[in-house]
Amino acid sequence: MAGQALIVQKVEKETYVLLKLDGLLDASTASVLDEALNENQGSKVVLLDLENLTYAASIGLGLLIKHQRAMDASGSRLMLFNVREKVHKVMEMIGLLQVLHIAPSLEAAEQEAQKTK
Amino acid sequence: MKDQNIDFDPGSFFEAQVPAEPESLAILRLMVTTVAADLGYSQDSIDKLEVAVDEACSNIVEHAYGGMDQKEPIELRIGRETNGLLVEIVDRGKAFDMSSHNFPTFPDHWDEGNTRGVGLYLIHQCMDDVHYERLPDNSNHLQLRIHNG
Repeated sequence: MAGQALIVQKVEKETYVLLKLDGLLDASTASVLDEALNENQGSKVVLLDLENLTYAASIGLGLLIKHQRAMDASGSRLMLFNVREKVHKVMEMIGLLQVLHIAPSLEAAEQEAQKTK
Repeated sequence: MKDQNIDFDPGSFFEAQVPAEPESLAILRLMVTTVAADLGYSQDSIDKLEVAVDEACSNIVEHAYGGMDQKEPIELRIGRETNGLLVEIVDRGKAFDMSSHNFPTFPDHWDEGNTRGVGLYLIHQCMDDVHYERLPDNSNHLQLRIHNG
């Protein structure tokens, strides 16, 4: 459906890679996120800005867990911030708030990134 | 054969048939959220309905029709019933054994290394009532309900 895609915009910073998600994360767009995270798996710190992510299905949230685990195992860090209330509620329902690395803001995420350097 | 419209208030439901593909999920979510909003449901109820329908239809695409070359369309009906809102989703894929399904507990589910397997749990969390039936004509009927009040 036109206009329902997921767009991932990459911004490279000195100490981290910022990925801004814009759109809907469901079974039809999950591969877009998977590829973006695969491409940046070698980065020490990846920050995911979810401000413009208006929907997230469990298949997409599962990808976040998958990539977080892989990055944790290699000593790097995947961190989310700007999670919308609607997405936050779904994360809460399936116990992901205690598992995913979530910062309240970009500043907080940047501070966390500093610890991983 | 079951009368598929028996539970809806007469003349007050909308229906759609879409290809059983991931690309159909967005239009189904748009359909059910639009109808629920039109019927005056709260944003929280609408958000939960969106999640339940998306997870249910994702499961149909991935599991009920998984590995099948011939995929019948997904049929979805939504409308008022006596005490609330009813969504009925019909497919003709493989049957689902609800009795053998174990709901996950958290955070154990994630600690055990899983990355999937929470769709049905989410559907139950989001809806007031979930009813699944496999009919003799090899169709799967899933009914999702929001109760009023």
